[in-house]
Amino acid sequence: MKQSADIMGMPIRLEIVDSGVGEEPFAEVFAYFRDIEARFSPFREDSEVTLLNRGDSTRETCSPLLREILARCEQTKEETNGYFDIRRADGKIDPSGFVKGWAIKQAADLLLLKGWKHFTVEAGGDIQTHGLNAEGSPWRTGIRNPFNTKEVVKILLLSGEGIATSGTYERGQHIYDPHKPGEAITDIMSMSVVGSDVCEADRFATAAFAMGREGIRFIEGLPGCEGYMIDREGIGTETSGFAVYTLSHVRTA
Amino acid sequence: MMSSVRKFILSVAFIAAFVLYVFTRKGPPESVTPIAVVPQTRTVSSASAASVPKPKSISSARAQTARYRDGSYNGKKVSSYYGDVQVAVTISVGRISDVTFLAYPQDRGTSKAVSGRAMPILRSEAIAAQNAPVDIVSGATELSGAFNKSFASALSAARN
Repeated sequence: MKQSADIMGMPIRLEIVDSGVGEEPFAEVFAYFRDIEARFSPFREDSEVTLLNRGDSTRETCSPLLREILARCEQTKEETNGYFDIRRADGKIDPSGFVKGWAIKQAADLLLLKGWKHFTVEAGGDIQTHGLNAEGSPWRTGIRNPFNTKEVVKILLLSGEGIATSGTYERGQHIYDPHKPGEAITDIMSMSVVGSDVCEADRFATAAFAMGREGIRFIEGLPGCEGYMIDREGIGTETSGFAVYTLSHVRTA
Repeated sequence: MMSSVRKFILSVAFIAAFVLYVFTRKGPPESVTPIAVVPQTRTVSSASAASVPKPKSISSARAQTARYRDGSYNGKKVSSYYGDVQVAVTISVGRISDVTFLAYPQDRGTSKAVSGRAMPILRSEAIAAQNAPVDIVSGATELSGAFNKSFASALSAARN
């Protein structure tokens, strides 16, 4: 059974293929995301994040959950040499880049707690998978072609892993270095990271994309994460362990 | 009719020649991680050339983009879920020579070199559209829309 809702400014999609599934888990998951939006959206007047940014609360007086989120963001900043940084230019903090992946994982854990075993939770292109699809195979997960969003350029088989893609989809304009006529300045279009869960994948995908071409090497150096980078020339580069997700493995739920 | 001795010598010569051939043949080249590899096609799925914009030849690119006036143009600031996105586009000799972010939700932080450890050569390939069915797709979504809007408005300003 599949349902989606627009929350936090993006489509939230949930698919559960366990037998006997009804409305309840869908309602619970969407309610959870709405709660996260109310509590942590920097665009909500009365969210905990806005209160913190206004100075109406401090790291000491804010909720334990927000404190934990901020600590995880700080940890991520250290692990990514500062490429992941929730502090904006105006001095305000915006943990959205971390909250998205984290919330998906929390929602998935909620479903596991209720006994659901075979499902995917997606928010804006970041996905947590569990168990098997309706055909009894690991979830067939495509990576979108950044040059043509109707196509996928990789199909991965995931069962329990999370995947996040950070990127940009300009319409293939080539950028030329005026000092080297004919030579395009290469940079990257998208960075997809597969991690042990979507929270891991998401926090590193954002940082890796910001690093440009070096990002794939950063992911290569991370134990437990694999990556696939697509550059402006349409070349895909993968980390050395990535192929395990593109091969058919016999997986048990 | 050949004598048995002659037959014997001939047989030995053939065998020796064969053994020599086997042991002097060069083996397969040392495996080198390829820089560009044609993507393997799987038995179930088929792959076709992915839609990738081909860089135009200089002359046609010049003709194509002659409509852009040289200079630097700021795109509109567009808000996305993560924050504001604003790009500036620089046109040189009628072509896009630079795109920079004036506003980007995640601060890129101080530029620090990623640790320069020795790394294996990573496998690269031209991306190819996969035609097999999928359950779900991972891709950048929201932020890209904001980039597109800001980028498009900068190019509008640059057009003659």
